[in-house]
Amino acid sequence: MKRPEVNLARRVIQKYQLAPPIDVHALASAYATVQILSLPVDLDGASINLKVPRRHPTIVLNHRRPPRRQRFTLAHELGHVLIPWHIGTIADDIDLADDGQDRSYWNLESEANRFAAELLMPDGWVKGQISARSNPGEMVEAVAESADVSSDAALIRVNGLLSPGYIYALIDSDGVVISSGRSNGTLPNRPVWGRRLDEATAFPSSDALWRVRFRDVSCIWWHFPSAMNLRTSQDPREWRQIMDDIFDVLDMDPSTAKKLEQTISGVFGYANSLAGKTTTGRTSTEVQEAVYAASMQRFDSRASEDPSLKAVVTHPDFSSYLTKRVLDLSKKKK
Amino acid sequence: MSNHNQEAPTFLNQYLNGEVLAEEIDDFIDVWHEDPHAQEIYEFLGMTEEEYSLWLRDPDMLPHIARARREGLPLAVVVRTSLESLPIAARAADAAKVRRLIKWLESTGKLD
Repeated sequence: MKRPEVNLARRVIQKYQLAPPIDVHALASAYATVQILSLPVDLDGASINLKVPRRHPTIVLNHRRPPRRQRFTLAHELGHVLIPWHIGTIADDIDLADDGQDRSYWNLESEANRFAAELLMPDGWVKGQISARSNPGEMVEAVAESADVSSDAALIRVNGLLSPGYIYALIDSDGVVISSGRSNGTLPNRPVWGRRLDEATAFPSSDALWRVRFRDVSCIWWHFPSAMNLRTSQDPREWRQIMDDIFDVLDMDPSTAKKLEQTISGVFGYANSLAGKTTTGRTSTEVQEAVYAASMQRFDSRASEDPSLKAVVTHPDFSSYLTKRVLDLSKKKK
Repeated sequence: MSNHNQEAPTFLNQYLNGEVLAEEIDDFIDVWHEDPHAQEIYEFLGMTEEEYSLWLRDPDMLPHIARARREGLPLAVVVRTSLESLPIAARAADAAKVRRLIKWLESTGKLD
């Protein structure tokens, strides 16, 4: 079952037969007095006299905010007006990401944000925008332009509805990550905020990269495959021997090698638990390719934080090692 | 009233799930009037007798009835607290701003 606030936005869309870009001002005016004012305080807006008997609710918006931000704020305030348990007065400094400080306040805010996102950018409509394009940057731009919402709101919405396997990072002119995210079910970790990022080498297991302008910064998107072909290996060695040889070539001391071996087994086991458990309806080759892809993507993430692991994972024999390990696991499952 | 209708989600449940808007209670009442002997109206709406009687006296109490249900609180407690001191929800840093804003709106005649 969907969340009540999402259902409510859908009911409003259905009742008034709305489609993006919706006239949110006309809609909100049917339920509240809407005032766009030069406020004496620094807030995005507020909803006042919510559910007060014999009082009409008032929504005030800060006219100094950009128009698209005002539209989202107004949709958010309408959420406060319509969601039955939002009562009294609620002040908003709209933050699309919950900072988790005051749980009860943030629950109200998250509900109003989800209402606003669904009202302005309905789930099914956004999925249509996504499926019509391959470049995620273009998806975000299309949603922002067609729904008349800010790039930030469109980015969060598109990222939330993309299929697994997408990561984005907003990069400033110094190459530092100022924000990042990943679609649900994506295996590699998103880039760490505040760190410099080498976009070309950040994710070796990605199969596509797009760079787009996003406001005044760069936005990089990566895509990760759900399956990767296993390379046919002529290597006669079994996987344990290949790993030992890699450690020797890299001149690893035994304690580091032992620790790395445990890490590698842990990462492989985790990737297998994510990608290899559901075998129903899939051929053994499909399962092997999914486990291989998931493993490479997890190794990429871990290696970016661990130089010793990176040396192992980028060794030319590592793909033979992983292929043999995947095939060995597959044999055991049979 | 058919069994099908008796099993259908009630107004209050649908209202709590966001599937209907407050004003749509009138549509449910119209449906009830088509066969008023099958069920008490409060049952048809998914309310207790106490909730229905409160709503009948003051339709503006509907959200408070829903809130009491949702939070599992006695109706009388929710109604009393809702009417005595309506909450102000804001970030801690914004609470003073809200009070200033409300005073300013009142003093400039911008609040309904």
